[in-house]
Amino acid sequence: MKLSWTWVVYLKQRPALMLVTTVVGLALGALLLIGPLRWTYDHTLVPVGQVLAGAGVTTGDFFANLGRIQSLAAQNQQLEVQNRELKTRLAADAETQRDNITLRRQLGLDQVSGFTEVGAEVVSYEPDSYRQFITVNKGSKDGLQTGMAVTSDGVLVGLLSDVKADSAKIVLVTDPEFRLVARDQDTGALGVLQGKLGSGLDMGKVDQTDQVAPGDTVVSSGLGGLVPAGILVGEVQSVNQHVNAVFKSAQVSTDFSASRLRFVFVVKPQ
Amino acid sequence: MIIWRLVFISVVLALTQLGFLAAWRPLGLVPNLLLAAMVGLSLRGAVRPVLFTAVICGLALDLNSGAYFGLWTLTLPAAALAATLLQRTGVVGNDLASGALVVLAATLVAGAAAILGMTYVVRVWPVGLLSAKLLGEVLINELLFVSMWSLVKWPVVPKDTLPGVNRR
Repeated sequence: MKLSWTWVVYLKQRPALMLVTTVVGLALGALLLIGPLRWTYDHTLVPVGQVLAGAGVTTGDFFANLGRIQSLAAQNQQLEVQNRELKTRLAADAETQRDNITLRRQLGLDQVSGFTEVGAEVVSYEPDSYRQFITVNKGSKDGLQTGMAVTSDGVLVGLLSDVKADSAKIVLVTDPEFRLVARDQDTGALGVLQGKLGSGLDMGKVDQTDQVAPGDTVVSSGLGGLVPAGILVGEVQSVNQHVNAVFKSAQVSTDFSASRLRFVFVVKPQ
Repeated sequence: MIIWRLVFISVVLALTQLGFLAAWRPLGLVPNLLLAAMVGLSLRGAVRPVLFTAVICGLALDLNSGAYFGLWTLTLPAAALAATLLQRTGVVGNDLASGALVVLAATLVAGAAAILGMTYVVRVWPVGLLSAKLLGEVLINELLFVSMWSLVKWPVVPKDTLPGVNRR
Protein backbone atom coordinates (compact mmCIF):
# COMPACT_ATOMS: atom_id res chain seq x y z
CA MET A 1 0.00 0.00 0.00
CA LYS A 2 1.42 3.36 -1.04
CA LEU A 3 0.29 6.80 -0.14
CA SER A 4 -0.85 8.98 -3.00
CA TRP A 5 0.78 12.40 -2.74
CA THR A 6 -0.72 13.89 -5.91
CA TRP A 7 -3.32 15.95 -4.00
CA VAL A 8 -0.55 17.53 -1.97
CA VAL A 9 1.30 18.47 -5.17
CA TYR A 10 -1.96 19.91 -6.58
CA LEU A 11 -2.54 21.97 -3.42
CA LYS A 12 1.06 23.12 -3.30
CA GLN A 13 0.47 25.06 -6.54
CA ARG A 14 -2.58 26.82 -5.00
CA PRO A 15 -1.50 28.33 -1.65
CA ALA A 16 -4.88 30.01 -0.90
CA LEU A 17 -6.75 26.74 -1.47
CA MET A 18 -4.19 24.93 0.67
CA LEU A 19 -4.69 27.42 3.52
CA VAL A 20 -8.49 27.09 3.36
CA THR A 21 -8.24 23.28 3.18
CA THR A 22 -5.90 23.23 6.18
CA VAL A 23 -8.13 25.49 8.30
CA VAL A 24 -11.33 23.60 7.35
CA GLY A 25 -9.52 20.29 7.89
CA LEU A 26 -8.31 21.29 11.32
CA ALA A 27 -11.74 22.58 12.36
CA LEU A 28 -13.51 19.45 11.10
CA GLY A 29 -10.84 17.29 12.64
CA ALA A 30 -11.24 18.99 15.98
CA LEU A 31 -15.02 18.49 15.88
CA LEU A 32 -15.29 15.00 14.44
CA LEU A 33 -12.07 13.20 15.18
CA ILE A 34 -11.35 13.94 18.82
CA GLY A 35 -14.00 11.57 20.17
CA PRO A 36 -13.03 8.54 18.03
CA LEU A 37 -9.34 9.31 18.48
CA ARG A 38 -9.75 9.47 22.23
CA TRP A 39 -11.66 6.16 22.19
CA THR A 40 -9.04 4.46 20.02
CA TYR A 41 -6.25 5.79 22.19
CA ASP A 42 -7.96 4.67 25.41
CA HIS A 43 -8.62 1.15 24.10
CA THR A 44 -5.38 0.39 22.29
CA LEU A 45 -2.47 2.45 23.53
CA VAL A 46 -3.31 3.07 27.17
CA PRO A 47 -1.86 -0.28 28.43
CA VAL A 48 1.45 0.46 26.68
CA GLY A 49 1.33 4.01 28.05
CA GLN A 50 0.86 2.64 31.57
CA VAL A 51 3.96 0.46 31.26
CA LEU A 52 6.01 3.35 29.89
CA ALA A 53 4.74 5.72 32.58
CA GLY A 54 5.75 3.15 35.22
CA ALA A 55 9.20 2.88 33.65
CA GLY A 56 9.51 6.66 33.63
CA VAL A 57 8.58 6.97 37.31
CA THR A 58 11.03 4.18 38.23
CA THR A 59 13.83 5.88 36.30
CA GLY A 60 13.06 9.22 37.94
CA ASP A 61 12.99 7.59 41.38
CA PHE A 62 16.30 5.84 40.74
CA PHE A 63 18.11 9.08 39.92
CA ALA A 64 16.38 10.97 42.73
CA ASN A 65 17.34 8.27 45.26
CA LEU A 66 20.96 8.30 44.14
CA GLY A 67 21.18 11.92 45.19
CA ARG A 68 19.67 11.47 48.64
CA ILE A 69 20.94 8.05 49.66
CA GLN A 70 23.05 9.64 52.42
CA SER A 71 20.12 11.28 54.14
CA LEU A 72 17.73 8.28 53.94
CA ALA A 73 18.66 6.82 57.34
CA ALA A 74 18.09 10.13 59.17
CA GLN A 75 14.87 10.69 57.23
CA ASN A 76 13.67 7.18 58.13
CA GLN A 77 14.25 7.85 61.85
CA GLN A 78 12.38 11.15 61.62
CA LEU A 79 9.47 9.46 59.83
CA GLU A 80 9.24 6.75 62.50
CA VAL A 81 8.85 9.42 65.19
CA GLN A 82 6.28 11.24 63.07
CA ASN A 83 4.43 7.96 62.47
CA ARG A 84 4.11 7.30 66.22
CA GLU A 85 2.77 10.82 66.82
CA LEU A 86 0.26 10.45 64.01
CA LYS A 87 -0.97 7.10 65.35
CA THR A 88 -1.67 8.73 68.70
CA ARG A 89 -3.51 11.61 67.01
CA LEU A 90 -5.49 9.18 64.87
CA ALA A 91 -6.71 7.32 67.94
CA ALA A 92 -7.80 10.60 69.56
CA ASP A 93 -9.55 11.65 66.31
CA ALA A 94 -11.48 8.38 66.19
CA GLU A 95 -12.80 9.11 69.69
CA THR A 96 -13.80 12.65 68.67
CA GLN A 97 -15.56 11.34 65.58
CA ARG A 98 -17.54 8.83 67.63
CA ASP A 99 -18.56 11.60 70.08
CA ASN A 100 -19.53 13.83 67.15
CA ILE A 101 -21.82 11.18 65.65
CA THR A 102 -23.48 10.54 69.03
CA LEU A 103 -24.03 14.27 69.72
CA ARG A 104 -25.41 14.89 66.22
CA ARG A 105 -27.85 12.02 66.72
CA GLN A 106 -28.94 13.38 70.12
CA LEU A 107 -29.42 16.92 68.72
CA GLY A 108 -31.34 15.63 65.69
CA LEU A 109 -28.82 17.05 63.17
CA ASP A 110 -28.13 15.49 59.76
CA GLN A 111 -25.36 12.94 59.78
CA VAL A 112 -22.23 13.99 57.93
CA SER A 113 -22.39 12.31 54.54
CA GLY A 114 -19.45 10.10 53.70
CA PHE A 115 -17.75 9.39 50.42
CA THR A 116 -16.33 6.47 48.49
CA GLU A 117 -13.03 6.35 46.70
CA VAL A 118 -12.31 4.98 43.23
CA GLY A 119 -8.73 3.91 42.57
CA ALA A 120 -7.23 4.91 39.23
CA GLU A 121 -3.87 4.46 37.54
CA VAL A 122 -2.04 7.31 35.85
CA VAL A 123 -1.61 6.55 32.14
CA SER A 124 0.02 9.72 30.88
CA TYR A 125 1.57 12.92 32.18
CA GLU A 126 1.58 16.46 30.87
CA PRO A 127 3.90 16.50 27.85
CA ASP A 128 5.37 19.96 28.57
CA SER A 129 7.17 21.53 31.53
CA TYR A 130 4.67 24.29 32.23
CA ARG A 131 1.21 22.83 32.82
CA GLN A 132 0.31 20.27 35.50
CA PHE A 133 -2.19 17.74 34.19
CA ILE A 134 -2.34 13.95 34.31
CA THR A 135 -4.63 11.40 32.66
CA VAL A 136 -6.03 8.36 34.49
CA ASN A 137 -7.63 5.13 33.24
CA LYS A 138 -11.06 5.61 34.83
CA GLY A 139 -13.91 7.70 33.43
CA SER A 140 -17.65 8.31 33.41
CA LYS A 141 -18.29 4.54 33.15
CA ASP A 142 -16.93 4.30 36.70
CA GLY A 143 -19.18 7.10 37.90
CA LEU A 144 -16.62 9.90 37.72
CA GLN A 145 -17.74 13.48 37.10
CA THR A 146 -15.99 16.73 36.34
CA GLY A 147 -15.12 18.60 39.54
CA MET A 148 -14.57 15.58 41.79
CA ALA A 149 -11.57 15.63 44.11
CA VAL A 150 -8.52 13.42 43.50
CA THR A 151 -6.25 12.37 46.35
CA SER A 152 -3.00 10.50 46.82
CA ASP A 153 -1.88 9.32 50.28
CA GLY A 154 -4.78 11.31 51.75
CA VAL A 155 -3.63 14.61 50.26
CA LEU A 156 -5.63 16.49 47.62
CA VAL A 157 -3.69 16.36 44.35
CA GLY A 158 -6.24 17.81 41.94
CA LEU A 159 -9.71 17.93 40.46
CA LEU A 160 -11.23 16.05 37.53
CA SER A 161 -11.36 18.49 34.64
CA ASP A 162 -12.31 16.50 31.54
CA VAL A 163 -14.07 13.16 31.95
CA LYS A 164 -14.48 10.76 29.00
CA ALA A 165 -16.03 7.28 29.08
CA ASP A 166 -12.81 5.41 29.92
CA SER A 167 -10.38 8.12 30.91
CA ALA A 168 -10.25 11.41 32.77
CA LYS A 169 -7.94 14.38 32.81
CA ILE A 170 -6.95 15.79 36.20
CA VAL A 171 -5.87 19.37 36.77
CA LEU A 172 -3.32 19.20 39.58
CA VAL A 173 -3.37 21.64 42.49
CA THR A 174 -0.12 23.20 41.27
CA ASP A 175 -1.55 24.19 37.87
CA PRO A 176 -2.61 27.85 37.49
CA GLU A 177 -6.04 26.68 36.33
CA PHE A 178 -6.78 24.98 39.68
CA ARG A 179 -9.30 26.82 41.90
CA LEU A 180 -10.93 25.64 45.15
CA VAL A 181 -12.49 27.24 48.22
CA ALA A 182 -10.37 26.09 51.17
CA ARG A 183 -10.35 26.55 54.93
CA ASP A 184 -7.61 27.09 57.47
CA GLN A 185 -8.32 24.14 59.78
CA ASP A 186 -6.78 25.85 62.81
CA THR A 187 -8.65 29.19 62.58
CA GLY A 188 -11.57 28.51 60.24
CA ALA A 189 -10.51 31.28 57.81
CA LEU A 190 -11.81 30.78 54.28
CA GLY A 191 -9.93 31.58 51.08
CA VAL A 192 -9.67 30.65 47.42
CA LEU A 193 -6.81 28.34 46.55
CA GLN A 194 -5.14 28.79 43.19
CA GLY A 195 -2.21 26.87 41.72
CA LYS A 196 0.92 28.91 41.15
CA LEU A 197 3.05 28.73 38.04
CA GLY A 198 6.15 26.91 39.18
CA SER A 199 5.08 25.23 42.38
CA GLY A 200 2.87 25.56 45.44
CA LEU A 201 -0.47 27.28 45.87
CA ASP A 202 -1.74 30.71 46.68
CA MET A 203 -4.65 31.05 49.12
CA GLY A 204 -6.21 34.38 48.22
CA LYS A 205 -9.38 36.31 49.08
CA VAL A 206 -8.82 35.79 52.82
CA ASP A 207 -10.66 38.40 54.87
CA GLN A 208 -8.35 40.90 56.60
CA THR A 209 -9.96 40.13 59.95
CA ASP A 210 -9.43 36.36 59.64
CA GLN A 211 -6.38 34.80 61.22
CA VAL A 212 -3.97 32.77 59.09
CA ALA A 213 -0.50 31.86 60.33
CA PRO A 214 2.48 29.90 59.01
CA GLY A 215 2.21 26.22 59.97
CA ASP A 216 -1.61 26.13 59.82
CA THR A 217 -3.19 23.19 58.05
CA VAL A 218 -5.28 23.93 54.95
CA VAL A 219 -8.19 21.64 54.04
CA SER A 220 -11.02 21.69 51.51
CA SER A 221 -14.02 23.69 52.76
CA GLY A 222 -16.79 21.59 51.19
CA LEU A 223 -18.44 24.78 49.89
CA GLY A 224 -19.86 24.33 46.41
CA GLY A 225 -18.83 21.70 43.91
CA LEU A 226 -18.28 18.01 44.52
CA VAL A 227 -15.30 18.22 46.87
CA PRO A 228 -16.14 17.08 50.42
CA ALA A 229 -14.95 19.13 53.38
CA GLY A 230 -11.83 18.19 55.30
CA ILE A 231 -9.52 16.84 52.60
CA LEU A 232 -5.95 17.81 53.43
CA VAL A 233 -4.40 20.23 50.94
CA GLY A 234 -1.20 21.49 52.56
CA GLU A 235 0.38 23.81 55.07
CA VAL A 236 0.61 27.61 55.20
CA GLN A 237 4.17 28.75 54.53
CA SER A 238 3.86 32.52 54.71
CA VAL A 239 1.20 35.23 54.81
CA ASN A 240 1.10 38.36 52.60
CA GLN A 241 -0.78 41.16 54.31
CA HIS A 242 -1.03 44.80 53.27
CA VAL A 243 -2.90 47.33 55.40
CA ASN A 244 -4.66 48.98 52.45
CA ALA A 245 -5.64 45.77 50.69
CA VAL A 246 -9.17 44.37 50.89
CA PHE A 247 -7.96 40.79 51.26
CA LYS A 248 -4.81 39.06 52.37
CA SER A 249 -3.26 35.95 50.90
CA ALA A 250 -1.10 33.05 52.04
CA GLN A 251 1.41 30.78 50.36
CA VAL A 252 0.48 27.14 50.81
CA SER A 253 2.88 24.26 50.23
CA THR A 254 1.67 20.82 49.25
CA ASP A 255 3.49 17.57 49.80
CA PHE A 256 3.38 15.57 46.58
CA SER A 257 5.36 15.27 43.40
CA ALA A 258 3.35 15.31 40.18
CA SER A 259 5.81 13.12 38.32
CA ARG A 260 5.85 10.49 41.10
CA LEU A 261 2.09 9.91 41.01
CA ARG A 262 1.27 6.37 39.83
CA PHE A 263 -2.05 5.67 41.55
CA VAL A 264 -4.64 8.15 42.73
CA PHE A 265 -8.09 8.00 44.34
CA VAL A 266 -11.09 9.87 43.04
CA VAL A 267 -13.41 10.93 45.87
CA LYS A 268 -17.06 10.29 45.02
CA PRO A 269 -19.49 12.07 47.38
CA GLN A 270 -22.43 9.87 48.46
CA MET B 1 4.40 0.10 3.41
CA ILE B 2 5.55 3.64 4.14
CA ILE B 3 2.31 4.58 5.86
CA TRP B 4 2.52 1.73 8.38
CA ARG B 5 6.10 2.56 9.15
CA LEU B 6 5.08 6.18 9.77
CA VAL B 7 2.14 5.18 11.98
CA PHE B 8 4.40 2.84 13.96
CA ILE B 9 7.03 5.56 14.41
CA SER B 10 4.36 8.08 15.47
CA VAL B 11 2.89 5.72 18.07
CA VAL B 12 6.30 4.82 19.52
CA LEU B 13 7.38 8.47 19.69
CA ALA B 14 4.10 9.72 21.18
CA LEU B 15 3.94 6.99 23.82
CA THR B 16 7.57 7.51 24.81
CA GLN B 17 6.94 11.24 25.17
CA LEU B 18 3.66 10.92 27.10
CA GLY B 19 4.53 7.91 29.22
CA PHE B 20 8.25 7.66 29.81
CA LEU B 21 9.74 11.14 29.39
CA ALA B 22 6.82 13.07 30.93
CA ALA B 23 6.96 10.78 34.00
CA TRP B 24 10.74 10.82 34.29
CA ARG B 25 11.10 14.63 34.15
CA PRO B 26 14.85 14.97 34.60
CA LEU B 27 15.54 18.19 36.56
CA GLY B 28 11.78 18.77 36.64
CA LEU B 29 11.68 19.36 32.89
CA VAL B 30 10.07 17.32 30.13
CA PRO B 31 12.48 16.62 27.25
CA ASN B 32 10.70 17.17 23.95
CA LEU B 33 11.57 14.03 22.02
CA LEU B 34 9.01 14.75 19.33
CA LEU B 35 10.31 18.22 18.55
CA ALA B 36 13.88 16.93 18.27
CA ALA B 37 12.74 13.97 16.18
CA MET B 38 10.69 16.08 13.77
CA VAL B 39 13.58 18.47 13.17
CA GLY B 40 16.04 15.59 12.69
CA LEU B 41 13.75 13.66 10.36
CA SER B 42 12.87 16.66 8.21
CA LEU B 43 16.53 17.63 7.81
CA ARG B 44 17.52 14.14 6.74
CA GLY B 45 14.60 13.06 4.57
CA ALA B 46 11.42 14.03 2.73
CA VAL B 47 9.24 16.47 4.66
CA ARG B 48 5.76 15.12 3.80
CA PRO B 49 6.07 11.85 5.73
CA VAL B 50 7.45 13.87 8.64
CA LEU B 51 4.41 16.18 8.49
CA PHE B 52 2.15 13.12 8.61
CA THR B 53 4.04 11.82 11.66
CA ALA B 54 4.04 15.28 13.27
CA VAL B 55 0.25 15.64 12.96
CA ILE B 56 -0.38 12.19 14.51
CA CYS B 57 2.07 12.85 17.35
CA GLY B 58 0.68 16.37 17.85
CA LEU B 59 -2.88 15.03 18.14
CA ALA B 60 -1.74 12.41 20.68
CA LEU B 61 -0.06 15.12 22.78
CA ASP B 62 -3.04 17.46 22.52
CA LEU B 63 -5.42 14.71 23.65
CA ASN B 64 -3.39 14.30 26.83
CA SER B 65 -2.34 17.88 27.44
CA GLY B 66 -3.96 20.51 29.61
CA ALA B 67 -2.88 23.25 27.23
CA TYR B 68 -5.28 24.54 24.58
CA PHE B 69 -6.10 22.01 21.86
CA GLY B 70 -3.98 22.49 18.77
CA LEU B 71 -0.80 23.66 20.47
CA TRP B 72 1.13 20.52 19.55
CA THR B 73 -0.82 19.64 16.39
CA LEU B 74 0.35 22.98 15.00
CA THR B 75 3.78 23.31 16.64
CA LEU B 76 5.25 19.97 15.56
CA PRO B 77 4.39 20.25 11.82
CA ALA B 78 5.47 23.92 11.95
CA ALA B 79 8.89 22.88 13.32
CA ALA B 80 9.27 20.27 10.57
CA LEU B 81 8.21 22.75 7.87
CA ALA B 82 10.49 25.47 9.22
CA ALA B 83 13.47 23.09 9.27
CA THR B 84 12.82 22.10 5.65
CA LEU B 85 12.33 25.68 4.48
CA LEU B 86 15.53 26.83 6.21
CA GLN B 87 17.39 23.97 4.60
CA ARG B 88 15.97 24.62 1.12
CA THR B 89 16.79 28.32 1.29
CA GLY B 90 20.34 27.45 2.31
CA VAL B 91 20.17 29.08 5.75
CA VAL B 92 21.06 25.77 7.40
CA GLY B 93 22.58 22.54 6.14
CA ASN B 94 21.65 18.98 7.02
CA ASP B 95 24.39 18.47 9.59
CA LEU B 96 24.24 18.13 13.35
CA ALA B 97 25.09 21.78 14.09
CA SER B 98 22.31 23.05 11.83
CA GLY B 99 19.86 20.67 13.42
CA ALA B 100 20.88 21.84 16.88
CA LEU B 101 20.29 25.44 15.81
CA VAL B 102 16.79 24.61 14.55
CA VAL B 103 16.01 22.65 17.74
CA LEU B 104 17.06 25.70 19.78
CA ALA B 105 14.70 27.97 17.83
CA ALA B 106 11.86 25.41 17.84
CA THR B 107 12.15 24.87 21.62
CA LEU B 108 12.00 28.61 22.26
CA VAL B 109 8.98 29.06 19.98
CA ALA B 110 7.13 26.03 21.43
CA GLY B 111 7.88 27.19 24.99
CA ALA B 112 6.68 30.72 24.20
CA ALA B 113 3.47 29.30 22.67
CA ALA B 114 2.85 27.16 25.77
CA ILE B 115 3.48 30.11 28.10
CA LEU B 116 1.28 32.48 26.07
CA GLY B 117 -1.49 29.88 26.23
CA MET B 118 -1.63 30.35 29.99
CA THR B 119 -2.33 34.10 29.95
CA TYR B 120 -6.00 33.55 30.78
CA VAL B 121 -5.24 31.69 34.03
CA VAL B 122 -1.98 33.16 35.34
CA ARG B 123 -2.06 36.29 37.51
CA VAL B 124 1.58 36.49 38.58
CA TRP B 125 4.37 35.71 36.12
CA PRO B 126 7.58 34.41 37.71
CA VAL B 127 9.84 35.64 34.90
CA GLY B 128 13.04 34.22 36.40
CA LEU B 129 11.56 30.77 36.86
CA LEU B 130 10.07 30.70 33.36
CA SER B 131 13.36 31.83 31.81
CA ALA B 132 15.23 29.14 33.74
CA LYS B 133 12.72 26.52 32.59
CA LEU B 134 13.01 27.65 28.99
CA LEU B 135 16.81 27.56 29.12
CA GLY B 136 16.74 24.17 30.81
CA GLU B 137 14.42 22.85 28.11
CA VAL B 138 16.74 24.16 25.40
CA LEU B 139 19.73 22.38 27.00
CA ILE B 140 17.89 19.12 27.55
CA ASN B 141 16.40 19.10 24.03
CA GLU B 142 19.82 19.80 22.53
CA LEU B 143 21.29 16.88 24.46
CA LEU B 144 18.44 14.66 23.31
CA PHE B 145 18.86 15.81 19.70
CA VAL B 146 22.61 15.22 19.67
CA SER B 147 22.21 11.76 21.21
CA MET B 148 19.51 10.71 18.74
CA TRP B 149 21.02 12.31 15.62
CA SER B 150 22.54 9.06 14.37
CA LEU B 151 19.37 7.11 15.22
CA VAL B 152 17.05 9.14 12.98
CA LYS B 153 18.56 7.51 9.86
CA TRP B 154 16.34 4.44 10.14
CA PRO B 155 12.88 6.05 10.06
CA VAL B 156 13.84 8.59 7.39
CA VAL B 157 11.94 8.32 4.12
CA PRO B 158 14.41 9.25 1.35
CA LYS B 159 13.35 12.31 -0.66
CA ASP B 160 13.47 10.58 -4.04
CA THR B 161 11.13 7.71 -3.10
CA LEU B 162 7.98 9.85 -3.16
CA PRO B 163 6.15 10.85 -6.34
CA GLY B 164 5.96 14.53 -7.29
CA VAL B 165 9.06 15.46 -5.29
CA ASN B 166 11.50 17.94 -6.72
CA ARG B 167 14.72 15.92 -6.88
CA ARG B 168 17.49 18.38 -6.17
